[in-house]
Amino acid sequence: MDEILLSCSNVSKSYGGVAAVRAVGLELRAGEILGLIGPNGAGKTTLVDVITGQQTADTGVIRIGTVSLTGPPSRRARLAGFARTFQHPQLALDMTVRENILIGAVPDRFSSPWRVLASAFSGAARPATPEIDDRITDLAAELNISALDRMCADLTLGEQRLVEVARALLRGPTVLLLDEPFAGGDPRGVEGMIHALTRIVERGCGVLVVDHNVDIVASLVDRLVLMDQGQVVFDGLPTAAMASQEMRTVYFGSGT
Amino acid sequence: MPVQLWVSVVELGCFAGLIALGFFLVLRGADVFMFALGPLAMFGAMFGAFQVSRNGWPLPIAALIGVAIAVALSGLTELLIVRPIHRRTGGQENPSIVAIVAILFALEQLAGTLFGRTPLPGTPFWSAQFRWGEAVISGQSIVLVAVTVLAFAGVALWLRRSANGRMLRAVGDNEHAARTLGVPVDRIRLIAFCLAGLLAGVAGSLFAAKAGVSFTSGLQWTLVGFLAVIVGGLGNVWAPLVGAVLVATLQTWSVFEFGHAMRDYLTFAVAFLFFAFRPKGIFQTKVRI
Amino acid sequence: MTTRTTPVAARGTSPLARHRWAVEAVAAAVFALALVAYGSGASFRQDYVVLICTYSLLALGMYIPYIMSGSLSLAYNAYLGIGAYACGLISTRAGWSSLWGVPIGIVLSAAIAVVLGLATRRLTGFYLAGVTLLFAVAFQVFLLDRVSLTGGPVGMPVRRPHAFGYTFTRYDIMIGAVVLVWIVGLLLSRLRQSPFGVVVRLRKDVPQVVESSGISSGTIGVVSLAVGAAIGSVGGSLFGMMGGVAQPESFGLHIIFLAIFMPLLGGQRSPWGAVIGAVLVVVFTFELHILSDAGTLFFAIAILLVLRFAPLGLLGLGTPLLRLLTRLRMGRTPGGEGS
Repeated sequence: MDEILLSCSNVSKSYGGVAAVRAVGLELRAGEILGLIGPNGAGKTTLVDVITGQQTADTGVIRIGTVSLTGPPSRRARLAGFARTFQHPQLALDMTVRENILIGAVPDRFSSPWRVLASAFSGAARPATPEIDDRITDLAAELNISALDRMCADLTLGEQRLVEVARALLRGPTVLLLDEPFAGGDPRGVEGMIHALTRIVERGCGVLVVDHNVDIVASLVDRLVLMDQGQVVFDGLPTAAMASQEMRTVYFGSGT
Repeated sequence: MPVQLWVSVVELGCFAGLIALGFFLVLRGADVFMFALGPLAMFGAMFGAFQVSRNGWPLPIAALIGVAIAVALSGLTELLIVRPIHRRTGGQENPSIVAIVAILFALEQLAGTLFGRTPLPGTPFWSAQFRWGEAVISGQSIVLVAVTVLAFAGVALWLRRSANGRMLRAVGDNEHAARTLGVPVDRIRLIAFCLAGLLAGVAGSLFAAKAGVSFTSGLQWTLVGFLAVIVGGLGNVWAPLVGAVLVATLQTWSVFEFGHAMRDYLTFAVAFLFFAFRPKGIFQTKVRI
Repeated sequence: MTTRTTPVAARGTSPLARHRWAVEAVAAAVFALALVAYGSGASFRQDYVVLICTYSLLALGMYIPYIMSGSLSLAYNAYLGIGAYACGLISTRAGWSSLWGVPIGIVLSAAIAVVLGLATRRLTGFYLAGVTLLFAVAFQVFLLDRVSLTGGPVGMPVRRPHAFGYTFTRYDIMIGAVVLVWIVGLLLSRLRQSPFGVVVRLRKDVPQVVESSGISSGTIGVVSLAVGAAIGSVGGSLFGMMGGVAQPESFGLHIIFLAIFMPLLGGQRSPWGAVIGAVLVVVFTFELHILSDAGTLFFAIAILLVLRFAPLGLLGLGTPLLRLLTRLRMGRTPGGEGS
C-alpha cells in the first residue's frame, strides 16, 4: 500500500458542550480518493476545518507524514501541501477568474515578511507574469474553464466550484480537500467536477472528498468513510459501505 | 483626588454612559457602531446653544427642538445612507463604516457652517448650586444623573418587556435569520437608530452646560463613548454605564495626577489593553448554544 | 444562457499586455504638467499644488492597506507628522539637510505602522477604526505636549532642503512633489495588477483563501500598512519642507477623514482615483471662493452622494461613459461589431 499522507487520530471538537466531532481517526494515502460522507450535521465540515486549521481541535493529533500539524491555516497549508475548496465558494466576485486562480501559483513569494515586501517592490517594477498566466491558461483548459477574464460574479455555482479546484490545483498540492464539490451544482456543474476529479487523480495527490451526495461520491472514490453524529461509523470500500448496515441506519434509519 | 473631581467623574460618566447606551442599542439592533452619535449629540447641543445665545429662544424649546433634530438625523442616516449601502453591499462591514464616518464628518461641517466654528456656551436647566461637604453640586448635574438613571432603567425595561425590544437582539445577532423568522428587521433597525439619536441628543444638550460645545466636540464625544463600550462590553444593558464611569474616573484622575496629555495616552492604552486581554469588555455576553 | 463556445484565452498573451501602461503614464504626465503650469503662477498656487501632492501621497499611502486590503487602520496623521517632524528635527537640531528627514521618516513611520499593525492584528472593522483613531488622538497630543522635542503648539521650523551646495527653491519642491506623485501613482497602479496586488485584494474579500493558500494574511496586512505609512511619511516631509514648518494642527484627525474619502470620491479601481480625490479636496476647500467657509461641507456632501449613488467614484462614472462611446463608434464603423 502507498504511504500515508495524512492521518488523524482521536480528533475531537465541541462547541459550547455540543460535540461536533468525537474521537475521529482517519487516514489518507497517496494517490487515493477518500470519500467522507454523512448527513448534515454529522461533523464533516468541522473535521475539515480542524484539519486545515480554521478551527482548533480540542484533542487529537493530525499528522502529515510524521509531522504533527499545528498553528494557523497558512502554516499548515505550507507544511502539509494542503489545498482546499470551500463548501460555499470563496471567490472575490468583482475580480476575474484569472486573478482568483492566480493566488495558487504564488505562495512561495509570500513565505516571510521580507519576501512579501520584496514581492511588493518587484510587483511594482514588473507586474506581468507571463509564465504564471500560461500555467493558469493550461490548467483552465484542462478543467474546461472558459473565458478567464470574466468576473467571478458572472459564474454559475458549478463554475465557481471549478475555479476553486483550479486555484487549489495550481499549488501542486499533495493533499487536496474538496468540501461539498457537488452540492447545489446543476448537472453540468457535477459533470465538470467529475471530469476535474479524473484529472486530479492523474496528478497523484491524495484527495479527500467531503459531500453528502452518497451516490456520486461512492461511484468515484477508492474508499468511503461514513460519519454520523461526530463519529466515524464505517470505513471501507465503497461497495461494502453501500451494502453496510451502518449506511442503512444513518440514511434510512431502518433496522439495528 | 479632591471630592469636587468626583462630581466631575459622575457628570462625565453619566454623559459618556448615555452616548454608550446609544452605541449599545445600534450595535445590538443593527450590528453597526454608530460613530456619528457624538456629532449628533454635538449638533443637537449646538442648535440649542445657538438659538438660546444668539436668538434668545427659551431654553426648553431650543433644547427640545435640538433633541428632535438629533432623532430625525439619526433616523435619516439609517434610511437614506446606511440601509441602502448595507443592502447594496450584502451586509459588508467596511462600506457601512465609511458611510457612518462620512456622516460624522458631514455633521461636523454642517454644524461649523450653520452655528459657527467658535465654541458656544451651554445653558443649564437648573442653575441652583448645592454645597455638600467640600464639593459644590450644580442642579444641572442632578438633572444629568436623574436623566441617565431614567434612560438606562427605561431601556432595560423596554428591552425586556416590549415586543420591539425583545426583537432588537435577534436582529443584531443574525439579521438574516431574524428576517426569515418574520421579524420586521427594517423597523427594528430604524427604532434602534432613532432611540440612539434621542439618547445622544439629550446627553449633548445636558452636557453642553458643563463645558460648552463646539463643532469638533462630536468626535471627542464619540471616542469617549466608544471607550466606554469597549471597557464595559455588551453583555448587559448597564455595562455601558459601568464602562463609562470607569473611563470617566480614569480620565479625570489622570488629568489631575499627570495633566491632559497623559489622559489621552492612557485612553489609548486602555482601549488597547482591553482589546488585547478582554476583547468583549467586562460584562461578556453569555455564550448560548 | 452563457455561451460555451468562448475560446480559451490564447497562450502567451498576458492580460497585462493589453493594459496600456504607456497611455496611463502619458495621461498622468499631461495632468502633472497641467498642475505644474498652474503652479507656475502666483506663489500661493505652489502651496496648493504641494498640498494636492501631499494629500495625494496620503491617499496613495492608504491605497494598499485601505482600498486594496480593506484594513481600516487609520493612524495616518501620525505617519505624515513623522515625515514632517523628521525633516524639522534633522535640519534644526542636527543641522543636516532636511532631505535626510525623508528616509528617516520612512523608516520610523513604517516601524510604527508595523508595531501598531501587529498590536491590532486581531481587530477589524469598527473596532480597528476606533482604536487607531484613539492612537491618532494620542499622537497629536504628543506633538502638543512634548515641547522639548516637537516645539509644542507652535511646532518647529523645517529648513529648506539642500544638496551638493544647492538650496532648493519652493518651485523646485513643487516640481519634485508632482514628479513624486506621478511615479508613486504609476508604481501603485502596476502593483495593483501584480501578484502582490492580486493577493492583497483577495485578502479583502476572501481572507480564508489567502490563509488556506499557505500565505499568512496577517503578514500581508502588516507589510501593506508599512508600505502605506512610508508613502504617507514622504507626503508629510514634502509638506513640511514646503511650508518651512511642522505644526501639530496640520496633523489632526481631519486629514484622516479627508484621506478616507479621497479614493472613494475619485474611484477605487485605480490609484489615480485617490489623486483625483486629492485635487477635488483642495479645490473644494481653497480654490472655490464662492463656497468660502462651506467648502469642506460641500466636500462632505459630495462624499455622501458618491457613497450612496456612485460607489465606484468619479472614475467609475467614466467607465460606462467610455463603454458607451466605444459602442457608438463601433456601431458606426463598417465591419465593426455592432450590438
